[in-house]
Amino acid sequence: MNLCGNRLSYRVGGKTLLDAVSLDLAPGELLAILGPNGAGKTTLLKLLCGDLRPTDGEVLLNQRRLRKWSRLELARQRAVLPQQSNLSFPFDVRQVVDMGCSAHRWRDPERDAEVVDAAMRAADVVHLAERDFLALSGGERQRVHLARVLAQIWDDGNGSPRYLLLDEPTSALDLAHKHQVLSIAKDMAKSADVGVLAILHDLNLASVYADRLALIQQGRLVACGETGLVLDAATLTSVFDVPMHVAPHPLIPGRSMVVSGSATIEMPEDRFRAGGSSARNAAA
Amino acid sequence: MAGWVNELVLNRWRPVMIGRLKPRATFGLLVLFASLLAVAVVALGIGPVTISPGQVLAILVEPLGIVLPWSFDPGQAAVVMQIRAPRVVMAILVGAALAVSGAAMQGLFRNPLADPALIGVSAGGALGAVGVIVLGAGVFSFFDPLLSGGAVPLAAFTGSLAATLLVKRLATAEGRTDVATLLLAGIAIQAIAMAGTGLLTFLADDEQLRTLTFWTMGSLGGATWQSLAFAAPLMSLAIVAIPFTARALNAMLLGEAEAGHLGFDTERLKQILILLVAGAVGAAVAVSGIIGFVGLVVPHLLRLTLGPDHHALLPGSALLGATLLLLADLLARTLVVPAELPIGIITALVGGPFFIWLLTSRRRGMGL
Repeated sequence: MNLCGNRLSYRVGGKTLLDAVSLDLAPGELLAILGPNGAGKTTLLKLLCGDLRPTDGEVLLNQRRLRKWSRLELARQRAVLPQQSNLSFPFDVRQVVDMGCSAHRWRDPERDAEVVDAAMRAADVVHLAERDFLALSGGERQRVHLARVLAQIWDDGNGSPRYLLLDEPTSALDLAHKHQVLSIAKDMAKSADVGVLAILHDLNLASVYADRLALIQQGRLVACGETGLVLDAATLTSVFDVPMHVAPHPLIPGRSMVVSGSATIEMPEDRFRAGGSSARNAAA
Repeated sequence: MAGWVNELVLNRWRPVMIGRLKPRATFGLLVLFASLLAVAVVALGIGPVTISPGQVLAILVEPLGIVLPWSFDPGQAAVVMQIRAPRVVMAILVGAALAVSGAAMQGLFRNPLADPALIGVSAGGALGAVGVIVLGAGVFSFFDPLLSGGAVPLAAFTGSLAATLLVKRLATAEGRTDVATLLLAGIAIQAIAMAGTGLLTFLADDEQLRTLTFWTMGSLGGATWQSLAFAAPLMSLAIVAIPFTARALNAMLLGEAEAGHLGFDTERLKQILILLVAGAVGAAVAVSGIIGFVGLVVPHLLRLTLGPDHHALLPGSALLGATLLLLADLLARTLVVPAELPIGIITALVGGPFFIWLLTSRRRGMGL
């Protein structure tokens, strides 16, 4: 029982965006995907959720090819939170979260209401329930969409494995809500046995919350494994192209803390001068 | 008994369940339904022969064997049943079909400015109709006795359907219909159809010009039980079926990929909606010409009062579209008695300024 990408490649217009990446996500774990901008993280997520068809390789959900699943079956087991949703109609928050129940078409409406309530509590948006979605801040909107995908795969007690794919779920959030969202994701993994895959940018958040990390650089999987093993200064420095230092986390035993950059900040004197050094020399 | 009703009607077809609606939306729909009935009864009574609402009701229920305290003479009954009723039913169906189609298109295109005309229905219909009006004497003279006046509606319907299917075909590659391409292909086909219509207008003689000008401004004056028999099924189909796509259309507003992740077959949804809209609006154009603004303004107005939820918006649009077109037709046939104003003039004259007011006063919150 897992979501498994098998040697996934994606090429478009002669450019290879993803090159033979193999990755699997098991129920109960939180897997974080890290990498610089343009490395292919979102492409990988889109291949795993079926938005894009791989040029090579295949995606298996519970040993069955993704294409063989019916949309409804798939939607009841797996939810996807894209980087951004452009909802431009003034639904109220509760209605947006309720859209998550769409795949449970034959379910009792009262049960839907319970699930929506529970998901809104989990994502801390209960106080926004009657508000106009368009009047919310970016961070609030992101949490509402999180509540929507939580509602979509909320436990129906039939014991089938469930998966949650999150594309940068914390990008628009303040620090407190970043932690809150990741602890919700972690909790979904641990207590509800959901397999959670999240694309993250913050190495320290990933280090604290993720069970496993996958590092992607220029379309290739550079490293994948237990968080502590992947967070290695040399690997990170080469992937992110900036000096990286890894130290034990001061508060959480067994976790690491990552610091980026050199001891001094490079500041070339002529960076913001028109014409640079040559202009200055000419004036002298 | 209750078991299967619950299973079939309530669970399986929950999209239109009243229980899902907010109380305000349920109330709104009831008000809309009541006003439609009231306006219909009034419209049946108004005309050269004035018949009171009570008499109208008495005439309507008489075939059912119910006798109401209002007396009427057989002449009045004939006026209501043979002359006014087909026209009132036609106004209700055309208005409801245009408005519910507009609401569906706005959801599908995720754009509150979309309109059934966007996918080429109206322009294709116009080309078909004008083609028969102008070339009819020559090319279609052989068929004309067979069709006995049905040639223009038939050509309009064929033109509508052909244009829409062409637009859909252009926007579909490898089994996927791209919504943005659909919009652009619609604009291109509209332009071509309008050029064709323009060319035919150029070729037309004075009498044909008059006929085609009136046709493009829309009229319900030709409504008879016979023309209804042709157009009513397609319009009714869309009016009944489109509200069942409410939940899917709500999800579509999140984006097509998201709707897919929520379990909706978005390709099938697009196909079904385009076909329903093409059939219904094609039939509406065929029997009543081009009637603008109903499909655009009615869903808008409802979104402002009932909210964007398609569970309320789709049936609400059908009800309000029917009521407004009924009122517009009432004005069309009473303002300049004994002549008739083209109904398209009234809907545009009232709808245009109203739309401008909407744009300026509610720019925020409509996603514009």
